Amino acid sequence: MTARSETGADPVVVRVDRDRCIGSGMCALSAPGSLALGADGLAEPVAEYAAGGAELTEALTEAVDFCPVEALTLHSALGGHRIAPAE
Amino acid sequence: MSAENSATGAGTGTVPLIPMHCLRRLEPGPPRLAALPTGTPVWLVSRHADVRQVLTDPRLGRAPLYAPDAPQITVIPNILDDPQSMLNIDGTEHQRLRRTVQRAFTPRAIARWRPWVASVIEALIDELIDHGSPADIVAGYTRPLPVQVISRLMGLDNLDGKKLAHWSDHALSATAYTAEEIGTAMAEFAGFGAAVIADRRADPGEDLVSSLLAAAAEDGSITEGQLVTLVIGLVVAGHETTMTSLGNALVYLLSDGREAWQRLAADEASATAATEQILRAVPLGDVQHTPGLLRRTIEDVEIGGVVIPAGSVVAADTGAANQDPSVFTGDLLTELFSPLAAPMLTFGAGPHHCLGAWLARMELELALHRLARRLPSLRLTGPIEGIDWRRGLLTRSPESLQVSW
Repeated sequence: MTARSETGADPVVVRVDRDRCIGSGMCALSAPGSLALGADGLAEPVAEYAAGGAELTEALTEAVDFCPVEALTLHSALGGHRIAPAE
Repeated sequence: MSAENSATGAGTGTVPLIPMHCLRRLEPGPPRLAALPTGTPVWLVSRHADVRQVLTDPRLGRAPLYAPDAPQITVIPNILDDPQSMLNIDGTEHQRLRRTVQRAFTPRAIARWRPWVASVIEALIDELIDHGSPADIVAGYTRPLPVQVISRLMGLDNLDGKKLAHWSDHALSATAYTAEEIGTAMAEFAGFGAAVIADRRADPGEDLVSSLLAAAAEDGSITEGQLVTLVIGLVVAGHETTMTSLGNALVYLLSDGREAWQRLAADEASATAATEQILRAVPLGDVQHTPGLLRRTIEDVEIGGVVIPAGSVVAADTGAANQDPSVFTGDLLTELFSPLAAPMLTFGAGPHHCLGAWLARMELELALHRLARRLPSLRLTGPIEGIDWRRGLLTRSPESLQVSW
């Protein structure tokens, strides 16, 4: 995944399903550069991962993978299609 | 703390107890000071938003409850009071331990078990029917289902059901057993956990214990004691609360909620909705043993307009929050098949959100749907007042429940 982004692959955005999010904070611990807990205790992407998009890091991939309630999805910032988890 | 609650649950008496779905909860309001059974002051938090904040705000944790300066929070400690266990560590340390098992419990990972769990349920119903009416639905269904499921997930082929019940009752004892009895049972249970770990190290398989050992070995920071506690914790947590919830769900659905039985049989989606509402509205235990999920503040924190000082013990009363009238309207009779108006907090929230939430949901919805479909005339044989409850434990459910069809 890292290799792919280093080669200049699509920037990604991360979306948080706020109805599913239980504020475990695991994503904010794993990928503090991409996700944080908001004032309401639920996860939210940091600015560049909310709009515009930024590099898909290994930490972000792991954060999405380990979300206990699968509230996180990765999307291409350009095409909008879902990258992970697989549909 | 209604009169109903104060009259229920404790000790080992035989006084009839109010069924769990009839318990009245604390009226939600601002945080207020009360006392734990140990006498330690505790801030009771009861409104839905406030409970959610207590469970997700990093300024409150589990580890500070066991810090050297912490006040006593349990009269007789049980398995939940091990300071090194996953429940009682926070932050990065907690995350490293939880990651060894998290992947096995995500919604997608659990969904892969669905056909197999359904086959276990069908086999248990076959056995009930072969046994014939009347039967004890706890011995024949609500207890063996989650035990079989967690045994299979963890690869515990030779798990002795009687020993497991003994260990589990001690592990989650509130007043039923002495500290010495609990200590003896937990030492034996830890011995069992250590033996499972040694076995799986020598001969790894596809099971959860093997995968968590591999993940822990890769991580390198997790102690042997933590692994043992994690394994036996998974065994207990993997079946006890599901058995409790299913037993209490059946008490409700075969009494006050009986008219929903036919619709539960109709389709899985109805059972899925009903499971969420039952998990929301039927508490797992009596509040006098523990007024809620406990946390301790590491600095001053404002919750619901009240500044709670650093070092305070806080109880998040999920049962009250689950019935907060500003969020949830209606009751089980009118709302059983309606989607939840807000997230229910039975599984908690935040870093310690129940690892097994999705497994429990799946077992419950399949167990209710399939049972209603196969036994449409199922009913309680005796009166609700005559139910033999498991008493003096953190959870309360029927010890046995006679049913006919």
